[in-house]
Order: sequence, then structure tokens, then C-alpha cells
Amino acid sequence: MHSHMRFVNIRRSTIQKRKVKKVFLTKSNLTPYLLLAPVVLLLVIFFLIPGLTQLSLSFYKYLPPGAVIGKLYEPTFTLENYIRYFTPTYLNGYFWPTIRIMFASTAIALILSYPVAYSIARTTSCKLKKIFMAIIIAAILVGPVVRVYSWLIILGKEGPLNSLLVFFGFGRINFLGSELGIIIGTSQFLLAYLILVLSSSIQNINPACEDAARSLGANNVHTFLRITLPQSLPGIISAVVLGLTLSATMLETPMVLGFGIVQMQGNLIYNTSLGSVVNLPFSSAASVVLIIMALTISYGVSYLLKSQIKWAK
Amino acid sequence: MLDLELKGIVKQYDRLLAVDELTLSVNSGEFLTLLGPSGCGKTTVLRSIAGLEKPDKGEIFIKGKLVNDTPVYKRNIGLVFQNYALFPHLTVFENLAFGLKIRKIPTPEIKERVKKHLDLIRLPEIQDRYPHQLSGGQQQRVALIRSVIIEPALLLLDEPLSNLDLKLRVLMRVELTKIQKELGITTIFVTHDQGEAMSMSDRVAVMNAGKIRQIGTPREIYDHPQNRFVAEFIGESNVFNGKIIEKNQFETTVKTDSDLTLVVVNPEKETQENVSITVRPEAVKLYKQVPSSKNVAQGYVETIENLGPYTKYHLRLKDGSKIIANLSYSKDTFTYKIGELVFAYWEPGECTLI
Repeated sequence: MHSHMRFVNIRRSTIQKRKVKKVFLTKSNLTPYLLLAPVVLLLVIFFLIPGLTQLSLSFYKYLPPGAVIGKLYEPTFTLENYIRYFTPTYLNGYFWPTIRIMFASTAIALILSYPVAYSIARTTSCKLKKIFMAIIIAAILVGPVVRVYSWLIILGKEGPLNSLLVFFGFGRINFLGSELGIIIGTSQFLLAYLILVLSSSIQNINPACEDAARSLGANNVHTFLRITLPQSLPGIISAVVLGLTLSATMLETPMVLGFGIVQMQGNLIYNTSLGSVVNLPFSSAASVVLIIMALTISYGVSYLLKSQIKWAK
Repeated sequence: MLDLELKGIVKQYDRLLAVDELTLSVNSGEFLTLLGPSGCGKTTVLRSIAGLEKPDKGEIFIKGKLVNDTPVYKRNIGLVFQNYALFPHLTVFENLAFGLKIRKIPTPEIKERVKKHLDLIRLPEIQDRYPHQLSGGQQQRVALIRSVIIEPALLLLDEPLSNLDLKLRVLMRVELTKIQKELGITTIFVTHDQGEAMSMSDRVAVMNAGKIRQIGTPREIYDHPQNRFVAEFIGESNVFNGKIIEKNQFETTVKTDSDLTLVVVNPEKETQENVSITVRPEAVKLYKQVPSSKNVAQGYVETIENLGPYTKYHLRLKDGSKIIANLSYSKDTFTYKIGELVFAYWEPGECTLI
């Protein structure tokens, strides 16, 4: 219909044409917003409103059970939840372990996933690539409970890993109930995601660049360090951000492998909202801290890494 | 002196025989082109010389040294790719310095050489730019000097012009040949574009199905194709199949399958009884009356293509076969109409017996 109207208007005077054009412009200006509306609505209902509710809840006053019948908190403004959180008990018990586990497991997963991602990206056989992808997606689809309990068996005191260590003449390691066990479980969880992100980014690197580097005299190590690795930096950044944010919110892994001795921020939130002692304002404050921490760290790290890319378009 | 020698190179991929017992030698300073349709094995030959592919059989000598087991990075080869393969994360200067740094050349000399080579391509001001800030033609030239700045034993070019637009491509042909001659570097050029091959090379090796079908100067290849493939692949040819019926001291007479009697100047080598005769469309002349000449065929004009410098006439003969004649344009060239009955003829020296 528009095209028809335009066709008619071509024959009319310039002034009239201009008027009609204006109508078209406003209409076409509205279209993108209308198209965005469903997404915006979804985000407002499922993210913005709950987020703001949680934020305000974190400033409410906690009421112990029975203090006021049927009430868990009092809607006033108080900083006591945050003040309570930023004490050595919670900082050393949850905050710092979370950060250590985030960085360690992301680093391990990154190092382990890079070679796998590279070989997938450079596989010329379409069939082989599909098989690789199927395995990775299968790994993502394994439920958290199955995954974590498998690790519980592998990492156990008498488990296969410790038996192997003893067989090769090393001592037993207490993986369970230590940060190490959680780091192992978390890195394995991250692997599949990181491989997916990295391989798609490595795929964008022109393989001829590597051939060119070799023809110019660079051996394989030099080619990798000077040509391939710098070009995969954008992929590494996305992988690191994904790894950090995913590992920040681990719950089942530390719950099962931590034996209650080592816990992460997720466990604190879980315990205080769904556990034996329910303290919703404090739980909300812990959630807010977690969100801010995860965002700050991932933006900080990606900012630092991005400053290394001077060549992007 | 021979800068490159290939002896009996064979390369097989799964079921495809990419290179079949290929032997080739290239003189010092020579510009040799491997020309052939896609999939003829020319790129595989180039990659084998570079060391990016390992041939199943055969020997490769660079400057007299057997390099079969020498890895790419020790072969001292300049390589230019179709997509240029400039390092996107490095500036033009860093791209050019890459090979020199590996060779542990002192920084002042690196700077000097980079400047010299940028002057060579007349782009002295681009050294701090990144590849994506350059035009296609500039990237192409930077890729070229990046490969020659290391003073390689050989320069290998893998269809380097095919990503450029037509005008630039023709310009770059001239520029590339000029730089090659200026540096005197032995060059192997791979292309499927016969225009590039004919205009740039000292010698052309026409390849098909993993084999060299003919090797020679562009003129030799064009004027004396040795087989039907070369005759039809290079330029256009009218090809007639037939049998030799008579042979004297100077000329051979052939009766074609389409019942024409054609006379050819005797070829240098012996031929079998069943032969083909090829004649270039530009050697075919048209006449209204029966010309008093050898090699005459009568047909009617089926299609006329006006191509500017010349007009292409498609003639259909009585028996259904076709002859193409390209008549060069001048104001007083006689023109013919579609459906008109005309005589095509050509000199015995203009055709080749295969």
C-alpha cells in the first residue's frame, strides 16, 4: 500500500510530497520500537521488576521468626545487611573463595579448551566437526546433579583419581571439601562453553595467515604466539567473561564437592533464602553483592584485555 | 642456472589424483606461470614447492638443494595468497618487518628495507596503518613486498590478482611484472586467467588433470598448441577432426569428418593418421564469392556478436558443424547479415595440426 501511495504522490506538487514523506518517516521511525516491544516487556517483567524488588529487599530490616507473626522482614531502609556481609566471617567464608574459584577455574578451563577449540576450528572434515560439536553439546546437556556426583566419585578419598596418584607414587589429596575439588568440577563445567565460544572465534582467523607466517620463516611456536594467539584475543575475551560469570554463580558443585567446608556465594544465598535459617533481606544483599562483583570483574578483565586490541575495525 | 626443479611429483587426495608425475624446471630470474582450470592441480604444485603440502612421490630442488624434508619456515620462500593473508593485528610496518625480525636483522636495517620496499610500490606513507585501513589494491601490493622483503629464493604467487576488480587487475599485471623484473626474482605464478598468464609470463605451463600439457613462451603456446586441450583452453579455436589423405614436402592435406579438405603446413613432429586441425578465429576470413584459396568452408551466418575492436561471426556449415570468425573492426570492413551464405577461408600457415 505504501508503495502505491508513493507512486501516486510522485505526480503531485513538491509541498504535498514533503508532507506525505513526513508521515512515512514517523511511521517508519516507530516500527523499530514496536518490534522491540515484546523483548522489552519480557525483560521488564522477568528481570527489571524482580531485580528492583531484590534490591529494595536488601535494604529492609530482618525480623527473626516469631518477632512479628507472619512477617519475615520490615520494609524500612537499613544498611545492616550489607554491614553484616562485609565482615571477615562472610568475606573469608564466601566472598574471597568465590573470587579465587572463579579465576582459577576460568584460567584452567581456558588453557584446556583452547587446543580443543583450535583443532575443531581447523578440522576440514565436516563430518568430524559435527561429531565434535555433538559431544560438546552432550556435555552441556548433562544435568548438574549427574555431573557433580560423578566428580564426587572420581575425586573421593578412595576414588579413581586418588588411586591413580597412589599408583604413581604420589600421596593422596583431599579434593573433597577443598577449593581444589570445586575448581576441578567448575572448570570441567566451563570447558564445553568455552570450547564453543573459542572455536567459533578461531574459525574467523584466516588459516592463510599462519601459512604466510611460516613462509616468512616463523616456526610453529612463533606462528602460534605471534599470529594465531593475538588474533584469537577477541574470542578469549568472550570466553573469559563467560567463564567468570558462569563460575560466579555455581551452586551444586560447591554444595556437593565442598562438603560444607568450602562454600561459594551461591551457597550463602541458597542457605539464607531456602535453607534452615531464612533471612531474605540478607540473602538479597548477598545476591546484590554477587551481581555487582561478577559484573565488575568481568567488565574489568575484558576492559584490560580489550586494551590490547588496537587493530579491530 | 635452475632455481627450481620438480621431478616426478605425485600428490593424491583420497580418490583424486591432484598432481600426476609432474616434472618442471625454472630458470633463474624467470617468470613462470602455471595456468589451468580450477582443480587442475596447479595450487597443489605451488603449495608443494612452498612446503605447505607434502607430495607423495617426487623430488623438489630449490637452487639445486633437495628440500623435500625441509619445513616451510626454512625454505626461504616468498608466498602471496589470493586473500593476501596480511596479519590483521599488525601494522603495515610490523607485517613487513615480521620476516626480517625472525632473521635477526638489526632494527635500523629493517626500517631502511621497509622504507625502500614501500617506495617500490609507491606507498611510502602507509606504514602505520592496519591492513583493514587499506584498499584491496594496496593490501595486494603490501602482501607482495612482504614476501619479497625477505629476499626469498623463490616468489610464489597463488592467484594474487583474482580478488581485485577488472581495472585494477590489469594495472597490477603491469606493476607486478615490473617489480618482478626490477628485483630479478624467480617467480612461479598460479592463475586460471589466461590474460594474466599471456601478458605477464616468460613461460607458461598449461596444466590439466595434474599434468603439464604444454610448456613454452606465451607466443608458442598461442600459435602452436600441441594438443586439443591447450588449443581450446587458450583463446578460442576452431577444431576439425579428420584423416591425413596426402602429404608432400611442405604441406599435409586432411579430409575432415565434416567433409572439408584442409591444407596445413607440415608440423615439426610426426603425427598419426587421425588428426585435429585448429585455427584461431582471428585467422579466419570471410568472403561473399568463392575465394581462390585453400581451406575454404561454406556456411551461413548464424549469430553476430559486436565486441568493439572486432566482430565475432558464428557460421553454421552444411553438416551442422560450426566455424567462428573474428573480423577486426575498421570503418570499411565489409559486414555480413544473419542468414547470409558466406565463404570462410584461411591460409595453410595459420592452422596447426595436432
